[in-house]
Amino acid sequence: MKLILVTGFLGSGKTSLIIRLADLFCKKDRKTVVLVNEIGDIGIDNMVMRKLGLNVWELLNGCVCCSLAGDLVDMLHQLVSDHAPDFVVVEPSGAADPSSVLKALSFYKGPVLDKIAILTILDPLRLHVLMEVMTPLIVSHMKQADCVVIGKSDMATSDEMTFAETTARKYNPSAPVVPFSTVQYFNDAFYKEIKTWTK
Amino acid sequence: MDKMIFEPLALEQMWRRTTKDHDWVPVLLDYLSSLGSLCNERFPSSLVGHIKAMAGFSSGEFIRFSVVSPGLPVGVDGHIPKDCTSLTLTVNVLVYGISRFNLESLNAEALLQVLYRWDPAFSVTALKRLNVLNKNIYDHSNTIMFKEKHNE
Repeated sequence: MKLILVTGFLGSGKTSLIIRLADLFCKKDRKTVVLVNEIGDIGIDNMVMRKLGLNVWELLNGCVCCSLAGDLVDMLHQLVSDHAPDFVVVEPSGAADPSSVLKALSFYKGPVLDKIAILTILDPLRLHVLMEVMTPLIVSHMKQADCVVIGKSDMATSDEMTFAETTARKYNPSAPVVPFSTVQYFNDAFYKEIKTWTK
Repeated sequence: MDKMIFEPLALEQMWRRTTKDHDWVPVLLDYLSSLGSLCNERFPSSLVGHIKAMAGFSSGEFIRFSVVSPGLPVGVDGHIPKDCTSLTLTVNVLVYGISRFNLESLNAEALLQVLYRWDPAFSVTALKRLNVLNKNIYDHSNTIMFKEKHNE
């Protein structure tokens, strides 16, 4: 079983990316479960994913990097035992620090995880502002990533894309940086990266 | 540097359309972009994280709206059935630097503005305001910093 953690600030496009990823995994006959954590009493992302036919588990009303860390591990144990998925895709809230989520996952004692991959999505349209106001959180997202995805690539200017790529490479020189948009889906570089996980 | 408060607001609203002369999407776009703009106007130091809204329908269809910045267009996914006369809209307002109390006031103001503009085609009833846990849970004091003193 592989676990993919999709991180990124609020509104950066995590849900859209997960919908495409889960669709891709399902087309490859890989049993996929999505675990969504939303801040708030009502989850909107999970409703959307369910409407699209995905197997979604939700953690509401808190953040998996702090108040719901224990619940994340419990839920992971349960969904692994109920569904034995090939892939678990976890969407922490956009306010979650990925290092704290990883710390929580260290308490997971279920079947061995073949891989934990962290996919971080950046919003190139707001990155300038977020790097000024939310610096530690955004930098933490980038530093922890195995792959940095620059979302909304169909809407961003080339300057915005360049800034996002340069920033990602500055904080995480070893991670591949790939563009993504809901219009163009996965480009070759991104698909190649994903293929290494689906082997 | 000041810490930014973060008090998410979750809402459920029943929207009704009294005439079929108007489409649903423009009025909902108007409401959500007005809310985002009001946040920025009244609290210039605030930061819209994500204002998202969704309505689902028995046909299996849904519509989802997403506001990430007052300066950017509102994202829309899905669609509303043609003959729809009422819908329940779930709204999550995730904005840094504005208290839940003030977010509620801004939301009421946005609704009033929009209903006035679209009068008498639409009406709205607040179904419930959902409390989100105590704010300490969201006090990411090590990660959330702010350049200026916020307006509260």
